[in-house]
Amino acid sequence: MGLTEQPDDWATNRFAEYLRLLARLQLDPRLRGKLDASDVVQQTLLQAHEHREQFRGRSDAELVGWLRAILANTLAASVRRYAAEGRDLRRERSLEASLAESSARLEGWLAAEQSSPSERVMRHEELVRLADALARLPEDQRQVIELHHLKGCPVAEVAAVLQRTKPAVMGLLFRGLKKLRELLRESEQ
Amino acid sequence: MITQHNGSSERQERLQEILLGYVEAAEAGKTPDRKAFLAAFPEFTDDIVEFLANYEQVQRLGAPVRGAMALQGIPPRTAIGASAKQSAAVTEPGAGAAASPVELGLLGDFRLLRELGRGGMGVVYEAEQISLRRRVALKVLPFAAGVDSRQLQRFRNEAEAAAHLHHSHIVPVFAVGTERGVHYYAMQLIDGQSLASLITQLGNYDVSKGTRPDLHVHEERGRGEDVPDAIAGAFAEKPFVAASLTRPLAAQPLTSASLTTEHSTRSRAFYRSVAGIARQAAEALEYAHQMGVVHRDIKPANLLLDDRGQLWIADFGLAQFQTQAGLTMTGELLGTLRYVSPEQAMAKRGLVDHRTDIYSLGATLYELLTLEPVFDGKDRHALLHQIGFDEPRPPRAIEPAIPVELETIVLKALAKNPPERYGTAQELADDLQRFLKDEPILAKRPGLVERSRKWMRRHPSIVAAAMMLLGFGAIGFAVSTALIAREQAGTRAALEREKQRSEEAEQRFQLAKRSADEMILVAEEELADHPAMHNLRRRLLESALAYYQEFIEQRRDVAELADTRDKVKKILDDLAVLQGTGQLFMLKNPAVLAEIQVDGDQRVQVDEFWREMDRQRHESFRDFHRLTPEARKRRFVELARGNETTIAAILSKEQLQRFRQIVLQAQGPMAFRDADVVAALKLTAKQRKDIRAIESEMHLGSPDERPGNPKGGKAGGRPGPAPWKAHVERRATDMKRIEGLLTPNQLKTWRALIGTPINISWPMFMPGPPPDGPGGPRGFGGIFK
Repeated sequence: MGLTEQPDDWATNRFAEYLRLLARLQLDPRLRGKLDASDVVQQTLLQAHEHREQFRGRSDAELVGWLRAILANTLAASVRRYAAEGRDLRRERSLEASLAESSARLEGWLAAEQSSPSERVMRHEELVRLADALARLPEDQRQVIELHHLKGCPVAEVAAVLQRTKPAVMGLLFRGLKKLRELLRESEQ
Repeated sequence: MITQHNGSSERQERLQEILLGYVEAAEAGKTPDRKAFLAAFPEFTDDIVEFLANYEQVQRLGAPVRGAMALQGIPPRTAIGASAKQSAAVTEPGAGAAASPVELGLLGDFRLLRELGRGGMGVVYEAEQISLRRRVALKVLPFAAGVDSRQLQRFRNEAEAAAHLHHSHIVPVFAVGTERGVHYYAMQLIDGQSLASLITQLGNYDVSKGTRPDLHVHEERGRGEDVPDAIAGAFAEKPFVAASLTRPLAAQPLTSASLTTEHSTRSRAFYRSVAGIARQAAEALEYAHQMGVVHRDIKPANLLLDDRGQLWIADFGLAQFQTQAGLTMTGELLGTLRYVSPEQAMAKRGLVDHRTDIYSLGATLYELLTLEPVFDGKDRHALLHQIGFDEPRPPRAIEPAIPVELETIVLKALAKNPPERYGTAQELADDLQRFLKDEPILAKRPGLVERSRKWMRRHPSIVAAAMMLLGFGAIGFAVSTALIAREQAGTRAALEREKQRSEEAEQRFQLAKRSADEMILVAEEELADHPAMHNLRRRLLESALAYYQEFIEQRRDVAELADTRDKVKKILDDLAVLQGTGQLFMLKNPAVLAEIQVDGDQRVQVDEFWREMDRQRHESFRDFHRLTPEARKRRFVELARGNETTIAAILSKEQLQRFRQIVLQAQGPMAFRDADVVAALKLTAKQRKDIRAIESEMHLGSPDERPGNPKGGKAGGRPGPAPWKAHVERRATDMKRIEGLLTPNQLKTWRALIGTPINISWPMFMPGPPPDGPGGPRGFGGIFK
């Protein structure tokens, strides 16, 4: 996925898609054109690499948690940096609101992350696989699934965001889910 | 987008409609009975079954993600629908979070109970500290990149210092820590409201007061013994007057309700209560300052008023964090910026001390009194500019009922220069206390003369520092910009590098811009009122303008830059006009009048003109102290424009032309700064720079460069009045050097511009009496420095 080389013993790249998915979900759609989730993840992995001695955990679940924390910080920093560049306040206002929301969301997300460690252990592997599979879907199908299943947007809202009709969204969902399930099954083997 | 083929396309469309019906029903909380649904569309059974299986599996996989989002306060927007029914285990906490907000999560020793508020600075939760079983307010901080351990350490040091503050008006900090990458700050939970919300409330209330005549129930409060505790007393007396009248207020604490009533009657009691609040804050600040802790982010949102009318200062130790992460961002930013001190606004790092808190408390008090912010700039730039340059509107101009003592106190706290504010928070508290006791306060309105003197002592280093800073910043900026232009980004790695570079360039740009802004600030704040300094001021502004033009050329995207440039241009235009007036003084010199061959009639008119001008000036200076700097400047510019027109009407075309030539001669090296001259000669950048160097030597050069001028180098290098002769000689030499820099063609043009050299030994003009102290015999426009 175009990532720079990481040493083999530091296999964080496995989680790149997962992190990218999280970054996409966390970024407000209005910022999406401006901040690239891939860049943020790239930076996250670089930082993780640079500071790997700080990682104390042993399990993958702990590693994922740690990466998420770095991602959240990186994302919050990028969002801020982006905000710092903006000047026109009237335009910035609405943006500001979304930025504040984005970074507040990140904190909440992190707080939530701390809350149920036992559940997480079971889940993270599934989520990583889900993220990898999603990354292999056609863009439009992936967007529909992310919005509907991961962000929890009703079909009508998905349709509005993507500027398609509701039946069209269902078509994408139908095909996307089918393909996704195949990919997930594949990765189980 | 439906790309199915022929017959199957129709079938597909039908299927989509059916599935849509199912999902939308589920979203509405009416998940269809699966068996019945399948039975209704027998020809689609397989597709529907497959779809639902896929749908449910992915829905289940996505549940933790949705759950996390719901925990963040984003309501889950779709019912889990079909799947929720099928697999109960899947019903994530997220789905039910909105309904049962018992616990949001754990953070170390803290159980998050509910969100109290959020903003760019993070989220504040009400939480329970598990080990001590106490309720706390927990602030979760959005720390930038979490990786710079030094910054983190600094934050911790500050927060820990704050945790050692124990004062009855400071919110106690219980704990500062990090839990798996999340930084938090736990403090005592205060039941009450912030002054920010109080101000909003008072403002709203104000709007509606016209429609609520029955509110005038409050009697003038007596003054006297209860004064030290004015607030508590005031509140106790009329508890629910306002609360019973308006719905929103009913939910508010007693204290603010009382304040609202007091405010509605514009009673002195209201202003006493406000003064009492400010006094508590000032005393808390004094204590913190004594302990070596500066808050640096005092604002209404950080001052809390509890149910007993007690004031609490919150968020000690967080400003450090904020300057590194927050000052560049978000909606809260503008709110925060309104209260920063001029020295903070101008990023004068070394100069930010405890007096910054005094300013910010002054700004808060101002707003509490007037219900208007001190400055109302609509964007960051405008606001910072106002904080840096503009005098606040006197509070009594907004609300005449405000006691004059309070106005004086507020304005003293809001002085632009820290030394003119209260020296300590205690002095501020004492003055407020004097007001409360009806004793005379110590604060006096700052006099202009005093300000000028202070400035004179200060300015040389400021100017020099600004120049130097600008040099560094601008050079770095240009170099790195050039580097980036050359760099070709082919690979990912190169892209990364470039990004880093552009970040560096951005930083340099910011530095350069800050320096340029600093120059503008110096020019406009420090020099504007000193006619004798107009040349220096112009030099600063011109340099700043040149840099701004350069910024704009290299960064086309920033409209604000152009805005500043235009403002500077406008100032320079005005300055040119003012200097033009200075030049008119040359018409007082008989030799000049003879040279342009003024006849008897014209002479009468010119004399008349001088009388009129003297009268105008007399008037202007009489009003000097009453006008704002802005109004003063406008007045001068208007007068100057009028004068120019008058003279142009008196003199003939030829006379005017000759007069202009003489003016150019008189200006000496300065003439080469004139935009028209630069254009006519087509001076290159290098020539301008070299000329400027010669000119600088003349103004700032060392004494040993002034042979025969023993007093030459003192007082910032300006020649005193006595050694005019030496000065003139020096000027002649400089002019020769400058002429040596010109090409033959340019020299020819220059000679044409100045005409025949006029042979007047000295001085070409006889200015009237100086307007105010430092102007000296060099006169109004300061043509000869």
